[in-house]
Order: sequence, then structure tokens, then C-alpha cells
Amino acid sequence: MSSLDYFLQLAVNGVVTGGVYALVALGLTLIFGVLGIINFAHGEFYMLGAYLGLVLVMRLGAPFFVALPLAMAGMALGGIVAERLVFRRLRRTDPTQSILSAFGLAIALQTAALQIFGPQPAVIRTAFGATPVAFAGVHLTLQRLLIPFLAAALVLLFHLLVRRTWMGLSLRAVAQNPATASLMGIDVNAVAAATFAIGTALAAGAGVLMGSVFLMQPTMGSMVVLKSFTVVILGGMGNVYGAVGAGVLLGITESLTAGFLTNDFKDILAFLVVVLVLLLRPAGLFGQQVERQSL
Amino acid sequence: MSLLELSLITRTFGGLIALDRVDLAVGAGEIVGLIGPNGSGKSTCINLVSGVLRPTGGRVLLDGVDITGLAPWHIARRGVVRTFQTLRLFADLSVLDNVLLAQHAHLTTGAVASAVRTSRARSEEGGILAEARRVLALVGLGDFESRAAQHLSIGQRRLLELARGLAARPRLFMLDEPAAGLSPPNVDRLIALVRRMRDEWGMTILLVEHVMKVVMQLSDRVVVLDHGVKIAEGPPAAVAEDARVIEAYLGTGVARADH
Amino acid sequence: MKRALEGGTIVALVAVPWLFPDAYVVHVMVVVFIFSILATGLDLVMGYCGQFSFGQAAFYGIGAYTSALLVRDLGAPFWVTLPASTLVAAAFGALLGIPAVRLAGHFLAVTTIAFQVIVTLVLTQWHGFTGGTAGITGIPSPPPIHALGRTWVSFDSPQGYYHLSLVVALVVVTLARRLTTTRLGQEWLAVREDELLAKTLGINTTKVKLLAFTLGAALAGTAGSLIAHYLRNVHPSEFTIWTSAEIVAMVILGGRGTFLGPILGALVLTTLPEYLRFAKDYKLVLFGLTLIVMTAFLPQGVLGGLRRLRDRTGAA
Repeated sequence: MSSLDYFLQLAVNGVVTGGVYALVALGLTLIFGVLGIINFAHGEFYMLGAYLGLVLVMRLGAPFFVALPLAMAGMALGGIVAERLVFRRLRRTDPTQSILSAFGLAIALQTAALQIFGPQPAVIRTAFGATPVAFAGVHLTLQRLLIPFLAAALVLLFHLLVRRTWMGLSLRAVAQNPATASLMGIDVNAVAAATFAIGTALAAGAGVLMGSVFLMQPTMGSMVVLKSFTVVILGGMGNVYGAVGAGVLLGITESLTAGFLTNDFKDILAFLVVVLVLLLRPAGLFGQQVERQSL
Repeated sequence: MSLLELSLITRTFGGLIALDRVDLAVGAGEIVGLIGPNGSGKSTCINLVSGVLRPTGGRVLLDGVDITGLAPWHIARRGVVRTFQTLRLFADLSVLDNVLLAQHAHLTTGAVASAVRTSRARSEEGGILAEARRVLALVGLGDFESRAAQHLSIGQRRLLELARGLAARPRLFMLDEPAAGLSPPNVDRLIALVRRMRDEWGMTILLVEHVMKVVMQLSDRVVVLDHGVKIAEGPPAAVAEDARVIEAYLGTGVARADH
Repeated sequence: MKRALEGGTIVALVAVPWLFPDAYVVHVMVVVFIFSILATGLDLVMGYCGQFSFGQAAFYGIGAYTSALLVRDLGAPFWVTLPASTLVAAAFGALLGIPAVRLAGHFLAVTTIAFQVIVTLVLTQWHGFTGGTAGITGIPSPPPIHALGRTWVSFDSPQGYYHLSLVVALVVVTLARRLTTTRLGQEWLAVREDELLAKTLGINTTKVKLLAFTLGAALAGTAGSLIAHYLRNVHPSEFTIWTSAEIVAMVILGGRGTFLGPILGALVLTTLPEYLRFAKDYKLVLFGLTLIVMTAFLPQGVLGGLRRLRDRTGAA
């Protein structure tokens, strides 16, 4: 395989994982931007979405394109419950409170999943996964090729939701100023529930996509959520499109690093970069300049 | 040579020009009042001098030395003290601790000596404790030394801010709306205290204030800002009659000071 | 009165191995002592100085691995590895401090998280140096104390290690408590309460925060050395972001910015899974739920909650 082919192969692989990071980070930054909550448990919704997809496809025989929206809907419900029971009291408090509570939720969910599904890895097998595809010297399965497109479709859906609907407008109002929004008759609790629902649905979607090409296990959420935190920072906290861009960028960079340098330390990349970026430009790669001195 | 000199000071926030090439000088031992309508840039001046903000252009000189862009704690150690418009205190700490902390920067013994309790460290710390008590008694907060700062009334909090500044024995004391929220008798007390600060302890004072009585009674000189530009400067009486100043305040009658 | 209470507690603690001969109880207490050191160190950073840190387990791991590596490669004895671990961890604490002192709030939290993850990943993936996922084994416990032809203490068993870890914990925690009453401790509080104000008073808040990170990490390093010589092996899974989050939970739930709070937190959170054992495989689920409940209803921690109760009944 020529060098260029190899590069393209890696880049395409990177776009696949990058799409997944983008979706998870999108949900995370949405929840942070609107509610000021750092959802440490976000990775568990990603994981549970994947397992929900697994059950739907492998045990109940549902087609992939039915399982995907169903799993997302299921986790949207989970997000609403989590918001109501765990996070409602913690809006706009200091980050430690929400991180701790979310940590508790994450432990609970991960342990429950471990008991219910067992530790052995699994994967969602689809017909697309068995269909090889090749273009421009790049080889992959149809399933893998679908992922960036599906991810892009979800981002587009999200964009339309936020920009064109009344719900989206309320979301943005609450993100700007919850007190004022409330005074103007916006039901802040409903907005909070909707925010979580959208965020966790996106994570679940990412999980199903990922679980259809890579092995899944109950611990898969941990590393993904940690990397997604870095993506959120790199994209500028609360900047949803920055998160998407940074996610894809991370996926590609990781893939290229693993392919050209070393596979061992590719995971570290995201975290090293975020520390460097925060040293030099705390607003992130795409964010607004943040005045460090506060009055 | 002035103790404090702002030379062509400019500060912008994005598109907003808060200060536009302002020149301001305060001579040693002077009390200079800085007034102007809301948003004129008065507090920004204090923030720039104390190092909380950096100027976008121009220089700040303290005793002829360029202190532009120095870290706030560096500037404080050169004898510059300020209060805050929004009134900042260490809420959870006692009144006494608040005043003690203001003197930490002037201790000569290091943190290690303090931790190990050398005799020199202990005597220095005894010294600042005595000074803290003296200053608190001076402003009338002597009985409240163990109370948590957050449990003080607003008048008492203003006094604590002053006590904090006094304990640090500054050369330049910048007061940002010290009379805000004070009852009339407390305002008189404030005026008397500030006058003492200059007359007895030789402090130079830059006073930002909206309460005209305070400005008129205390200032040797008044400087007026409007939308980031200096529009008038001179003795209090002259400034009060200045047409541009009255216009800037939109004739609310504020410029006609009640003596 | 307070002195008597403290003295009595210490006597009771010393007597535990004889009062509770069950090796498992003693083992749990050893872990409690080690986590007390970790939590106290973190409290200096978070409780007194008011800076978020989710990196305490990283320094714990650095301390543990320093001891392990010194033993493996240089055959160093315990009385060398303990201070070495403390110093190396402190150095890394200063390293994290460099970006950390410039950041606040969420940015600071994520930076410390990133640092933690980097350390865990390095420990897991640098097979050549750290032993990777296999960790390092064969670390000896401290040599037994012989005198006058008799072995007085052997550190091989939980009972043997108990008093060693108790003594180290007492010394470390007492020093930390002493530190908080010094000038530096006051400056930490000032930074916590209002950093900008502290700066305008002439306090070099950068130095103050850097010292907090360094000292907090130093304590974690000490704890790391203790665990390495106790378990006699080190493994990356002991030093993850989850461990850091647990230590944060101990500080917050015990009561931050207090002397007893972190210790209480360490005690409760270490023993809690034991009480949840009836749930067997689901005990961690209950543990997680307990965290959620406690964060919601006791944001000031147990001690903070008690203090509020006292204030309310006292003020009435």
C-alpha cells in the first residue's frame, strides 16, 4: 500500500472515530453550555446506548436503522430521568458538586451494566458490516463508511432543532440567562430535561455507531467521556460547533499518530494537547477570548 | 513630580472604549476626587493603577517608576492600596484576620520562619497583630474583631475595608465609592477619617465617588470623566460650576453640591 | 477536654489490633490511614486553598511507582523510598501547578483531570519502564525491627503494618494541620475566599497556589510509598481518575477546609463498601447512589452539616 493510500486509510478511519467523538462532545458541551453542569456520567449513556442497540439488533432482530433511533430515544428518556433525580439540584453550582454526583451515577450505571451484560466484549453485527467497500485506495466496510454520514446527519438534525424550533430558542435563552428566561415564561425545568434528552440521545447514537464497528464493553464509556472533555475544551466550552470540529480533528490526529508514530501513546494525545492549549489559550481553539482577570 | 501619573491611558473592552487617552496626575499628599456619570471609566482607572487590568495604551507611573502591566501584588507591595466599589472582603474570615492579611506583604520574615516560629517571626507577627487591633479601634470596629466579616453591616464593612487599607500603611490609597450605602452620620465619619489619613499619616488619596458632599468637602482637586474622556479638572467649586460637567450629568442637580 | 478526646482516640486506635484480632478489620484500617493522608493532602489544595484537583491519585501513583522503581532498580530500602516518593510526587505537584495556577473553575478541573489521565496512561502503557498493565511486583515490606536478640515488629502482615501506617498518618496529618495555622495557611484561605482581593493586598497568589499543589502532592507521594510497601506490588488500576474522584468525595463529604473532615471522609468511604456487602455484586451501585444522595443533601460534608445544625440550634 502506497504512502498516500496509507495516509488516506488512516484519515478515513480517523473521521469515523472523530465523528463519534464529535457526537459525544456535542452532547456534553450542550449540557454544560445550557445548564452549567459537567456531566461526568455522559460516557455511561454512550455505553448504555450501545448496549441498547446490541439488544435491539442481536436479540430482538431489529434492523440497524430502526435500532439506532430507538436506542437514542431510550437514552433520551434515561437522560430526562437523570436530570430530574440527580442533576436538578446542582444547576450552576460549582463544578465539584456536579462532577461528584455524576461520578456516583457513572459508577452505579457502569456496575449495573457489568452485572447485566457481563464483561466480555460484544459487537453489533449488521449486513453492512460484512459488506466491503473500497475507493481511492481506501478499504473499509459499508458500516464503517456509513458512520461519518450518520454522524453528520445527527449534527444537522441537532442544528435544525436548535436554530429553527421554539425549543431550540428556549435552550439558547436559558443558556444566556436562566433567571431572565424564567421571568419571560420559559419553563426552565422543561428546558433542562430537553437539554439532557438531546445530549444523552446524541451520546447513545454515538455508542450505537461505535458498537457496530468496534467491540463494546461496559467500561467503554470512561475513556470516551474523558477524551470528550478535552474535545469540549479544545472546541471552546459551550461552543457546540467547535466541539464537532475539534472531535473530528482529534479522531484524525489520533489515527495518524497511531499509524505513523506509535499505537501505544495515541490515547495520551488528547490530554497532552488540552493541557498545552489551556496553558496558552484557555478559550480553546475556536472559542472566544476569555478575559482571565475577573472582577 | 507627582506620586501617581496616568499618561495617555487608554483601555478598550472589545469595541467599547472605556478610557480614551486620559492624563491624570496626583501629587504627594493630595486628595484628588475623580467623578463622572456612570460608565465614565472611573473604576477602570483604579483597576488599571492597581494592576487588575492592563491598559491597552499609555503608561502608569508611580513616583516616576513605570508600573504599567505589573502584577497586582507587585504594585500593592509598592505601597498602593485600593478599595472596591462592590466591597470585597474575606467573608468567612474574622474581621481581625482580614486586617492581618493586609499586612502579610510587609512582613520581612519568610513563610518558613513563620512556620518554624523563630523569635524574629513571632515578634513581627505580634507587631502586626497589635497594629491590626490599633487600626480596628481607630475605625471603631475594635469590639468586632472575632466576628466573621460576612456578619457585618454594610457600614461596618466599609470601615473594615478602610481599616484593611490603613494597616498596610500605603503611600497611595485609592477609594472606589467608599460612601456608597452609608447613612449620613457614617458619611461624616468617613470624611473625617479620610481627612485624618492625609493630614496625620501623609497618605495620598485618589477618591472615586458619586456622593458629591464627600467629593466637595475632601478634594483638593477634582477631575471629571465622561465616556472615558477627561472633560474638566480643577478645584471643587470651579468644577461644580463648569458647564460641560453639568451637561454631562444632564442637569440632575447633582453638580450643585450641598455643602 | 478536646485534648483528652484526641488522646483517647489515639489510644483507642493504637489498641485496635488487639481489640479486633480479625486481620481483615486491621487491613481496612490500614487502608483508611493511607487514604486519610491522601484526603488531608487534597484538602490543603481544595479545602484551604480552594483549587479544584482531580489529580490526587496521579501523585499517589507517582509516589507508589517511585518506591517500586527504586526498589526494583536500585534495591533501595524503605527509609529511602518513603522520602524519595514524597519528594518526587512534590516535584510533579509543582509541575501540575504551573498550568494550574493560571486557571480557575471548570478549566482548572479539566486540566487536573487531563493530568491524571496522562499519568495513568503512562503507567499503563510504558511497558518498558513501568511494567505496563502487569505493574511491578516483589516490593519488600520494610525490614523487621530487631533489638536485643528479639524481633519486636515485623511488617509483613496487616497487624504488623498497622502501627507503622498509623504513626506515619498521625505525623503527616499533624504537620498538615500545623501548616494550616501558619501564615501560609491564612494566605490559602485568602486565595480561596477572594483571590483578586488577596492579590491587591500584596499576596503573591501564584506562589501560594503553587505551594498548595506541591504540598498536597507530597502527602500523596507519602501515601503512595506506604501502599507500595504494604501491598508489595503496584498496578496502574489503583491510580486512576476513579481513585481521584473517590478522594475528592472523601474531602467534600467529610467536610473540606477542616482537620477532621478528610479523615472522616476517608473512614466513611473506605468502610462503606464493606457495609454494602450484602448487595454483593451490586454494592458499587449502592455506593454510587449514596454519593449522589450525599452530594445533594450534604454539600458541605458531614462536618459542615453538623456545623450548620449547631449554628441553627445555637442561634435560636
